[in-house]
Amino acid sequence: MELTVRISGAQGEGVESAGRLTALVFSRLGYHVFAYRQYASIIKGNPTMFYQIRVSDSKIYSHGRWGSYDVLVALNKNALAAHEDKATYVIYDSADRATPKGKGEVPVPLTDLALKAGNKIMRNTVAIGALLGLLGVGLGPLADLIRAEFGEKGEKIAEQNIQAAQMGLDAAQKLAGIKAEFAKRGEPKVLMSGAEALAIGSLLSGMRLYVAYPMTPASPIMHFLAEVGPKFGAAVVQAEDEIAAINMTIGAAYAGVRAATGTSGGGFDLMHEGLGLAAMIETPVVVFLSQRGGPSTGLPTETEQSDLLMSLSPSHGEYPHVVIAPYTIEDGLYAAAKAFNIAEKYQVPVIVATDLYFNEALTTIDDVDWSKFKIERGELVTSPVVWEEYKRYKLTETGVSPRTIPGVPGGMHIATSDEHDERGDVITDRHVPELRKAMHEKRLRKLKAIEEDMAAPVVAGSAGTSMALLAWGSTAMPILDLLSVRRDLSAVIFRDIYPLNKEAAAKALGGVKLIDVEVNHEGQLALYLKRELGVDVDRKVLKWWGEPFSVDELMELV
Amino acid sequence: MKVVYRAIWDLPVEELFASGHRACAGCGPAIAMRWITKAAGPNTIVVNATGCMEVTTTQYPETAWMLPYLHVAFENAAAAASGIEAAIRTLSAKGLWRAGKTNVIVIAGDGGTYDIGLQALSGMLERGHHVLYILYDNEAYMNTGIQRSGATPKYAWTTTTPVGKAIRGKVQEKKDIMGIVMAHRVPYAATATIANLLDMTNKIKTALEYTEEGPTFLHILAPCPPGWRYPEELTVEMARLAVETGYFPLYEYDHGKVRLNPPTSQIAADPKRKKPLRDWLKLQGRFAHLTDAEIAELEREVAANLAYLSALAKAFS
Repeated sequence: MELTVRISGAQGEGVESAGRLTALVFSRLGYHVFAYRQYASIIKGNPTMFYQIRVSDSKIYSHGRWGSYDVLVALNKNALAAHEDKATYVIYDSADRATPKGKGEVPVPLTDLALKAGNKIMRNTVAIGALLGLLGVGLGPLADLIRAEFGEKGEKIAEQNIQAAQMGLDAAQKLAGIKAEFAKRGEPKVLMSGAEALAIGSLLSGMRLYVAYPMTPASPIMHFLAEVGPKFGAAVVQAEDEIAAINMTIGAAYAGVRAATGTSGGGFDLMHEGLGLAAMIETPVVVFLSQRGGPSTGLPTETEQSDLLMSLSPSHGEYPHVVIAPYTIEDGLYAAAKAFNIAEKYQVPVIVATDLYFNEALTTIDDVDWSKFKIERGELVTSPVVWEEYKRYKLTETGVSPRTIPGVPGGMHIATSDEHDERGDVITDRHVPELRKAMHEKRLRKLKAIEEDMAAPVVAGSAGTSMALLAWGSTAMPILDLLSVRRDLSAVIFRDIYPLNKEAAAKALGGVKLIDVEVNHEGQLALYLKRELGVDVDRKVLKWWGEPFSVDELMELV
Repeated sequence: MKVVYRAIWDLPVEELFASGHRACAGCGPAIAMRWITKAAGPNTIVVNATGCMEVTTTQYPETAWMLPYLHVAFENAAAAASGIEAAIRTLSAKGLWRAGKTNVIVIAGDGGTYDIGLQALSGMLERGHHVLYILYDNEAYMNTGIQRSGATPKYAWTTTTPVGKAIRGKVQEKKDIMGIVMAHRVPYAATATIANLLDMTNKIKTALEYTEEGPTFLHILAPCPPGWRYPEELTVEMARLAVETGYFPLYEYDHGKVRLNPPTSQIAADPKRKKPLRDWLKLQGRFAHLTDAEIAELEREVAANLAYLSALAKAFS
């Protein structure tokens, strides 16, 4: 059983809350849900933004189709005209079109019924009521959600909304009858966005400070943490810019707490210098890089995967760091856990790369693998050391040295951005090539050690196919859905990207023809793998105009 | 302040900020833009920082600006304007600038001014560029989803200053941006609101005239319906009440002299004329959680600020 609903209207017209409520209703009924919204960089306007909600009784990873959907809910004329041709059923305001043009049209007096219920603003609630009526869902779960949202204080408003939904439901059923039966399927499922997964994963990993500056699509991580973080002992600071954000994060991490920052491309540009500092003073920080269409302001509210090459080498100079890209929203939880562990174990900055599609999509999460949240703090020294002997940047085989935090007796040292010796003393007042050589090699040696902690790429789909799709990050989500219908294909998905586990990667890529699927213009993953392994891809399927791949689109393209 | 406009029918008729932009209904900043461009006139170059007034007016392939317009990045509007002004000066020295006296105006929101753009603003003021910097203050990052800024008042709810038992909205006070600018000893700086039209437009004229000498600055309060959470038809009323309750005093710094402007000057002289701060707070969803004690605290801060400005005006009259 599967269903795709598209709710469209102007920004500020209530599409956002209607979409979220619909997704929540089905998750409460125990269905697998995936919801994604397309919108523009304005607060109000853009008459045709939409929320697409996909519901299924089996596990799904993406919004599914672009080409068709079962029901369209159009809140205005423009939205109706823009989206109706792909829908089987269309719910719209009867004031927008007097006589239905075709089959499947369900004109409901949205405005009139909302006014009757008490306020025009509830048009979207009437529309959800109509949708649920058509789908045979009933109002129970929606009423619970509305009551919870408005709380005791808003009891009157809640009841008015429920009444509005009831009128919508009655009107739709009277007009069109019940077209499907979505009964309760099981226990309610947890619905979360990618941004929330990253935030929750971070809290579960013991993060105690999150510092950021607003930037779409990373802001939702900060919003969620500002609300929820303090309950779990995590402080949230909104800094005056991204430069301050990363440097505050470095300061906190240096002082011994797990700390992270998050931004998108433009803000990440400003963080480069800080990233180099963290690597030089060997301080573990985690940076959530949420990509959007670039360069410059680019497409602020649309998705893209074009910062991979930048994430491989931000900041000047050579230094060790790590890039991890979660490939499903659930994996966002684990990627955060891994990022903090790797950062502390190797005392390096770790970039967790996602994108707008990942951060803003909502999906149901089934089982959480709690074993992935073991906190590993590496060479952290908290008991007293002998200062005369203590070397904060001791030359070791792995490159990792014992790290003290401020307050550890004897652990005093200099942490400096200048090149330094094993004790941290600045060596730039003279020319000492041997020391520079040893310290630079020590830091870069960590990459070799980290490589062993980098997982093999995820190989999904049927075994023994001759053709495999190559992907990273959120593009894996529609690909995973595609593989459930295309048995002739498999996929190699890169999650632990840099440093590359070369042996495992070469093994996964051997013996198949590769189609590179990415949301950028250059095929950046393919370029990277060519550089690292000399692997050639057979074909590139690329997209760079602000929307993620869909399953139906991939069906045709590959 | 030089009084160029004595009554509203003296105000320019020509529109240079086109309708059809994508700002919200009841947008305070959009009102400010309309009157800034009218007062400045067509021989003006606008440099816009990232913010509401940038994203809602420049939806490709359209623009609301019937003036030369430049947007570079979030943090560097003042730096970009410095470059334009320096270019005009150089071209003029070479006899290649034929447009006559051209205004260079920065238009930046509070995020782009109080926070990420402060460094560039300070540099521009220090170097003494002949630029008018206009801060339209809607007291948070509204365009990216209502995050707090250095301009957000204490106790206000935003998405990054949530309200609970321990934290009651924003923890810190609003930064004294005028104080920061005045400390650069610029020729002219003033506060204004979109509700006090003649005061605002005359200040724009004055500030533009003084750019002959160096950088000038205007701090314009521009209320935001979705961010402050009030019905959109109350925008002008919100700005008016902000002044009448003493929350947002109108004053100017003119060559080292500080002068309170009406109605702030009358309120400062006779506190009985001041409306209770509660009248303004209660209209806004962002302050809906405030207790009587918290309102009393904010009221005391308003009184203290008025006393401070009165003392400044007395000392530097």
